[in-house]
Amino acid sequence: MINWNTGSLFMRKYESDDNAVRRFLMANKIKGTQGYTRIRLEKSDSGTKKMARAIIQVYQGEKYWKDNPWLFLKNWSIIFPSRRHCPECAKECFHSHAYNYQWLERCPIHNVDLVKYCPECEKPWPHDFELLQRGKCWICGTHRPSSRKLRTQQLREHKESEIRMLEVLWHLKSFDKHLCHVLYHDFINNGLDTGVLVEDYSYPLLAFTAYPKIRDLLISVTSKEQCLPKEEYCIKPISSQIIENENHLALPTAHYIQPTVQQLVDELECALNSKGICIPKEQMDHPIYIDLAEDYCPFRMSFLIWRSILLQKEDSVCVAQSWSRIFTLMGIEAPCFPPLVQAIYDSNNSCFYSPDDKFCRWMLINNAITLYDYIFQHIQMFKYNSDNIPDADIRKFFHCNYLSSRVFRKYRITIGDNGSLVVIYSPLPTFSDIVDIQYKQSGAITFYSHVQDNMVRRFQYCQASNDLITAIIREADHKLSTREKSLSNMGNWCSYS
Amino acid sequence: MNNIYNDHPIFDPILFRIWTPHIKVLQESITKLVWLGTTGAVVVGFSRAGKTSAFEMIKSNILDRAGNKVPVVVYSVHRRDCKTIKQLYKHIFSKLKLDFKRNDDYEDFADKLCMHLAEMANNTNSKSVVFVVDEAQRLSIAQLDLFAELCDVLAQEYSLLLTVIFVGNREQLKRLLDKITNGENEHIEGRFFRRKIEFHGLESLSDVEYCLEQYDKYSSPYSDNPCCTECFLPEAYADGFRMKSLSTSIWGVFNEYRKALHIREWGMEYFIISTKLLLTDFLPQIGVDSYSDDVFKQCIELSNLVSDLAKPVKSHD
Repeated sequence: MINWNTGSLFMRKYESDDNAVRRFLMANKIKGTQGYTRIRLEKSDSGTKKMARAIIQVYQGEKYWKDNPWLFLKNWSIIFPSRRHCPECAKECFHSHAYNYQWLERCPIHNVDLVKYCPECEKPWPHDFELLQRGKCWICGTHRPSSRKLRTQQLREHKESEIRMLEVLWHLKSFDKHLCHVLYHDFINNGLDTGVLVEDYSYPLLAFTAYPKIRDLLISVTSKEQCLPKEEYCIKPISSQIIENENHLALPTAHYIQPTVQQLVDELECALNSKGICIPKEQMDHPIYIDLAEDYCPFRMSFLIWRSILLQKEDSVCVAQSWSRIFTLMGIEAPCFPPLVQAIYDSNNSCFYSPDDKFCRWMLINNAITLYDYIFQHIQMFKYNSDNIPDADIRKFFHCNYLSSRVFRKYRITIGDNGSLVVIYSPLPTFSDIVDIQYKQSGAITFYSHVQDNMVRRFQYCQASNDLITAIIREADHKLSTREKSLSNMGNWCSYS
Repeated sequence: MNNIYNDHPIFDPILFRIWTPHIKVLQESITKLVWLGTTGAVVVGFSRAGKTSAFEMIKSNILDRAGNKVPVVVYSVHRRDCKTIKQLYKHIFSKLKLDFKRNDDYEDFADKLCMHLAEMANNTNSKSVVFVVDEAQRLSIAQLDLFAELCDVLAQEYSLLLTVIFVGNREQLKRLLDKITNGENEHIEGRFFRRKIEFHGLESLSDVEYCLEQYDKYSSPYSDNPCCTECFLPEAYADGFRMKSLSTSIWGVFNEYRKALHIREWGMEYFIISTKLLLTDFLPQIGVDSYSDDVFKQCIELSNLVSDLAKPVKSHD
């Protein structure tokens, strides 16, 4: 057991994961360009202290890399876009996730422009897996400068005011977790059909609306060209349901989400176990790195990514974004977070109501299953470079009745008249619409109603026989595909029991 | 009974240690050095006096003025193949379980070791680190520069005080000290060798009383267990017998050997072996009522005190 230096002397609050790797390498003077050295971060669970325990092990796995040359780290620098960094912070061995936000133009600490290239070696800022190849540069690499003055500068501690600014940016990231993948094109009204991420130019608008108190801070570090003038930010808070207390930056979570997610995780874990796929606990508790896939089992990989996203751990946004980029490069859509359900419009958008917990839970489950399916399919395609993965394989794997449907997949978020955040659940046509009247009249199917209190079944949208629902949804999908050829291939799993 | 002989810490030569008055003095001396901001000192004592064990015992007890724990690194110098500074670095790294590569240069070694020491200090919020170099008589003068360099780097870069304590046998370390004090190595002498701390084994009846009392009180390292005396002599202990009551007899027996062998002090190793034999083997068999000076003489004979120290040792004066 090697007694590694942790680089704790360089550690500051709210640093990025990449920076933790850098300070570890710097403290141990690890050299080499082989790319065989893999470094694992070990974190505590509590927020900003996660880096305090730093990195403890360096693995050597030449055979793994020989068996998986396509995963060779140097290839990934092509896939991942270059990062942004403050050159002055780099000299002090500090980097924050916030520097990658597109709307952040200047360093909140040094007030200098964030740049994409190292001023010393003029190469793009390295990702953690490239750091070993940058050993010689003292600004972007792991080499420590020879000058005593510069060495001392690397150990400078942040002032209270600097920590405060980084803290606000950090909390924006956690806010982002709740909203980033929710569609809200009605809000920004620009026709985007993707979620807004914390890095996006339009993000400050959302943040200002949610947290008026941080407006001045964000304006001070944001490019004026990219953001709206101050007066346009005078919008009411997004939702009193979400922001209960402006002083408290954490968002409340519906009480059913955590047990539901845990239940799903348990179910899927059992399904994996029944296939002989066992995932060690230590793998589950660590962030997913592409290069850490020991045997690259698609089920296992999918499960780990899915679990990480669903549990919305600290790194889930980063993980989702990393994989999103890969999917984008491959020309396929990336998996999304399950949307939050705050309120539901009917099919005419004429009124909205707050759905009860059962419905929200059902929606969460549906989306969670969709998410796994998505990740799994894409992992398969990524591995085999093939999009010919039959649904039957997945269904066989689950041993349960999940049905793919492209009809029931549309969720949108918008701002209601009273300034509240609402999610439009708009299956068009609605499920009720696609069911022939003969079924309704025969009583073979009963539709869900939000006012109905005596719902006893677990994943219930409607009550009917399995065959009947399968037939109805298949028929609806068939009609839809013939009608809208251009509809994206983004599928959804509708569960029924 | 078998379980006691298997598990009791008294039979563990590494774990079982007894505090002596001189260990307390040593701890106070090291603490004083740290508080005064001294860069180094020499600790000398006769062989088998218990210097190494003493540092192992006190290393987690050194506090700075603010009450923060001062990290103490104890390193024992290797004689074999350790003639250059690089070899010394490699040995220090392997002893401290630090990572190093075959092609690491001096700068790499120094940087990593300084970082390690600075992190240790940072973890306890201390501004000082103590580096104990045991068996320092094995070092060459050139190798002492390594510690001077560490002191400089830690002070300039990390604003940390490194106090280096060289520990060695009186006679052998004297040869090294003579070379250092010949004028050419004044920078080393001034930094590390101006302060000298004497370490002794047991020198008096009161020292023996102090040690024997611990058999009656403490059950190191398991505080929940009965004390050693109670564990091996439960009936006698219940009747009021205490090991401390034998201190006059034990010191008297040792005194005879001391005069015969011309030794000044009782090395802790020999003391612990003798008392262990007495407590765990002789007294349980013969009973405390049958104890006599001859019984303890046998214990001393079995501790190899005589055979090891048969040659008269010169006085350190």
